[in-house]
Amino acid sequence: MALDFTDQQPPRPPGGVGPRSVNAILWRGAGYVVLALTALTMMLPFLWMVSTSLKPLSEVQSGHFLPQEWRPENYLEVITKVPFGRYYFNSVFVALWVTFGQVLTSALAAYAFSRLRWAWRDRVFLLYLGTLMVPGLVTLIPNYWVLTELRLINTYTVLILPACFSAYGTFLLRQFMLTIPASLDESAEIDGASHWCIFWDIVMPLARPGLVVLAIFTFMGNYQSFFWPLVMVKDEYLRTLPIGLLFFDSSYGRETTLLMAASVMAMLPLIALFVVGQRFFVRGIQLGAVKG
Amino acid sequence: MSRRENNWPVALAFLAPNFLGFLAFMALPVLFSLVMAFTNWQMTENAPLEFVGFSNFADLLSDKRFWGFFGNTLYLMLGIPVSIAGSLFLAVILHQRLRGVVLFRTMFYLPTITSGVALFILWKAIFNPEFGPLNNMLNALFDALRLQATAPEWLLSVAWAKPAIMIMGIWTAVGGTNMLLYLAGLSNVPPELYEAAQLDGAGKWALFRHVTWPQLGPTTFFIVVMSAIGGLQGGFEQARVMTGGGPAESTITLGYYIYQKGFEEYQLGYASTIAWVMFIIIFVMTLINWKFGRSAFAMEV
Amino acid sequence: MRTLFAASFVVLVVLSLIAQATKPTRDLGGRLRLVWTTDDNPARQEQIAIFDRQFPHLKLTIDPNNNDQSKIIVQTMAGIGPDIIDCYDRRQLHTYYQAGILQDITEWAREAGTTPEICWEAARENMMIEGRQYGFPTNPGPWVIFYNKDIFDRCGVPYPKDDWTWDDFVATARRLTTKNPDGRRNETFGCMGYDLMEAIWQNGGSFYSADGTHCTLGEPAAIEAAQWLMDLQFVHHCAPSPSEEEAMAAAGGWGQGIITLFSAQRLGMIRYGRWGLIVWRKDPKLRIGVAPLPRGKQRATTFVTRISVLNKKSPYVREAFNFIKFLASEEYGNQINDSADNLAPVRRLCETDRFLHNPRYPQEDYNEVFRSEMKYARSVELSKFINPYVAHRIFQRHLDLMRNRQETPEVAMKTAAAEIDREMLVFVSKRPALQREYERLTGRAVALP
Repeated sequence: MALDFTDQQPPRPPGGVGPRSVNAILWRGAGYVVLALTALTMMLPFLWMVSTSLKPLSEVQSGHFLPQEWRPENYLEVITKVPFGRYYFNSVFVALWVTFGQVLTSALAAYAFSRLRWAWRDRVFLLYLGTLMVPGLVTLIPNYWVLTELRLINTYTVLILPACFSAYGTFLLRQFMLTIPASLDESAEIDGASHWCIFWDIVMPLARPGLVVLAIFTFMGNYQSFFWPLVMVKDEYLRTLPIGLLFFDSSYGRETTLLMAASVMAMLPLIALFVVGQRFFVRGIQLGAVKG
Repeated sequence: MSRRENNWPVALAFLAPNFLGFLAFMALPVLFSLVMAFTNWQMTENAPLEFVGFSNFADLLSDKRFWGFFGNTLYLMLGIPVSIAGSLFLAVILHQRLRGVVLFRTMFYLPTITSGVALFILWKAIFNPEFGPLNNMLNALFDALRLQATAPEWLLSVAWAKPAIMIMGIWTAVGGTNMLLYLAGLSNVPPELYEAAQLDGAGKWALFRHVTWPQLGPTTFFIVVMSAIGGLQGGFEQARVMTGGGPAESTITLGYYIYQKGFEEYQLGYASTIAWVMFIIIFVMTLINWKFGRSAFAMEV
Repeated sequence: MRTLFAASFVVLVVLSLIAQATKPTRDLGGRLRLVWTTDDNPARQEQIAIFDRQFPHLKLTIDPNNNDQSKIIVQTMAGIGPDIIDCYDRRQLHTYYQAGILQDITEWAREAGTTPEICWEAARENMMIEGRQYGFPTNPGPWVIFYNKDIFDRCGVPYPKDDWTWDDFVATARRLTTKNPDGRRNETFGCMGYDLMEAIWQNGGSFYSADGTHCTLGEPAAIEAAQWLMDLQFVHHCAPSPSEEEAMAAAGGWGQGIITLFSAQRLGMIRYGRWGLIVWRKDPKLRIGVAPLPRGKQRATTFVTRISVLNKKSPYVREAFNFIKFLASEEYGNQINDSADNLAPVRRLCETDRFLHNPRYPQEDYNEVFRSEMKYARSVELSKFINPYVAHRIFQRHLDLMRNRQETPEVAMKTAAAEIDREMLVFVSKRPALQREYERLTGRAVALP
């Protein structure tokens, strides 16, 4: 428990050989080459989107990567043609609620599935896993009926509530909590701590990388969620970004440049979130180290 | 230790919030679809709903298209191990102390955040047999080597459409979710383990084999199970946008087939049957994973 | 950790309050809102303005995002469906009918005078099922050949005549096909977009037998037509092959791709409908001519239209019927004619000089062709003994294999017919009433192989 890593001295990576050896420099160089090449191919679609979003429509089919004629007005057109601000707000609002709900309920359930012993535990867990295995398309209609009966169709609640309970999140956090040494909460228990305290003060902080990962996945997944809001809401003011983007890809004709401009704008918060979220991974490394 | 032996009241309290929602929004609809798998449910017919016993299941067993699409699905799943290995590889490199890690991670994750439609349109252009950059490159390569080969027609060819979708899948997934999970998993490995192993004189590969890999066991188990589930259910959106299931149905997967039966032909009873047969397949696969995963991924359950 | 969760919760509650507070209140000034699921073609705004003028107590809104067959059915069953629904072909009309969501408007239409008699002849089977009226066409029309006069002039080819034949068509298309300077790719293609089903009709064939009990794609008329169509690509090289089509459509949307290819001087001829003019009109340099589809053994084209139907479960279905009156109005019909969205659904409105010679577009001297082609326009064939989407899917699959040269036209058509016939047996064997009818018509008992 006394180990304390600071930013200047992060934990030794796997195979951490002495920093000055020739071997290490070679390894490092090779690592950079692989990373750079991979990163380049991964960047291409994004660059292509940005470049297309700055072209006039007539240039979409031209073979040029860069626009011959720059047209940043596309972005302005997107904002004026549809209530983009409302879509933004809705997407972020819904995704935040779902993230909060899902992380909380999943963490609680994962605690029950990983840190507690009770009869039927693994069988109930398999039931959870089982629902993941039934393709969502066939449960869509029964779901729709349940939600109709609850009078939730076409409300914010229908976008938030059902997504707050996730077998996926439970599974993910259970796996994370399994890696936390049992000795920690056992000793806390002997000291007389309640499960509620063990959960909040010992398990949750140690499961932080897992929580952050789940939060990021949940936020991204819901921010991009398409099928559910498409079916469940009708009114304009409830629409989220992916549904709003449809406006530019209608049966009447695809306005590729505007679609790309809107997609780029829709992606920006995700990129920001990801860059911020990464810091927590790094912190996660330190917290993970404490448990030794 | 007796408090830990059978702690169901506490467990119930922790489980309750999740479990109630789980019942209402997952278990109930799933149960409903199970019942419907035994009926002639047709959304667009005035015919009364009837129980038809196992006849949907019997039809399915002799449904050549189902088995064909099952084959397509398995074929496309061949990309999964490659993509998982790639994710692990990238995660291990990224986990080293390199400059620009934040930038690289973000760049790798970009395909995952890019909207699906935009990605699919892009890949369609890349696979374009005449003007696509991929075939331009291949043709240049063939010319340089003086080979009399012609580049494949990718999405337009019955033989190459599936590999094309597979390539796109690997590319999209390799730096995405799985890589992040591995990164998080790697950061949870106690450094003392490495130090101890190094004192024993272990080399790079030995460190990976005997420390990293076992420590990543639960993560790998999760990734394998979820990828298998995702793979069996997947393939619908990309095929719908990129090939429409064609050419000649060569890119229709089981997930797509459910959509086709349920929402194009409105045979929801039969679509539920397909879903449940898929469920059985996935369940058996997961059980196998569960049994063998414990040893293979050094799981503690 | 606890503080973090508590703080997040507070923030979320605040956000929820904001979301509720900024919820728009719908002030329609006492007017009743009708929802119409259709596409968001820019012409809709003009049409809505006309409707709102004609019926001041109503407010029409379109809902393009919910314009999907499955969604409409599911939402209607849940009681939040639209009031007015657009069907894009006869298959959809029958699907909604079978889902039990269509309002029978026969009596109301008789009172209002919006009966099938005032429409084009070919529209009737698209708005009626078993003698009852369920809808009204919005913008009917035939498929025709649009041609680029500049390319014809450059290649020294005479413009097509109204009674041209398949052979004339092939000869013309061949002469219009030109290579790039490097000789590797085609600069222009003679024609694009020819439809196999139309070719089969023109050759005297059909999809189903007259009584609908079997598929006739395997008969010589259909096989010949398929062969003729394949020859355009692979023998005469005057129509793009699948990979050439894909290459040309590149990054643009498909529907838009083919329109822009024509504007871009890449196609000598294109099979399209009158609505192509909405885009092509904007390009003053483009000199267009219009000819009928060529004649095989006979003339035939496809009747294409949207059909507006009313949701039986809507509480305002009686008010929604005003929309049908609107479609039959002169003002609406003229709007369709003028905007080139196709032809006015009421036939009389296309028999005017205003239709033939629109003063704003004097170069459009070919409107007569659209009108006269309606005589040969046919609707998609249906059989009650099979799910139309299943039949279409099988047909499409073998068309794919044929276009990829994995099956000869003969094998493709014969296998498709055999598969469709088999699906029919499966279909009727699960529906006792249909099975009896099928057995009566065919004179043999249904036995599944």
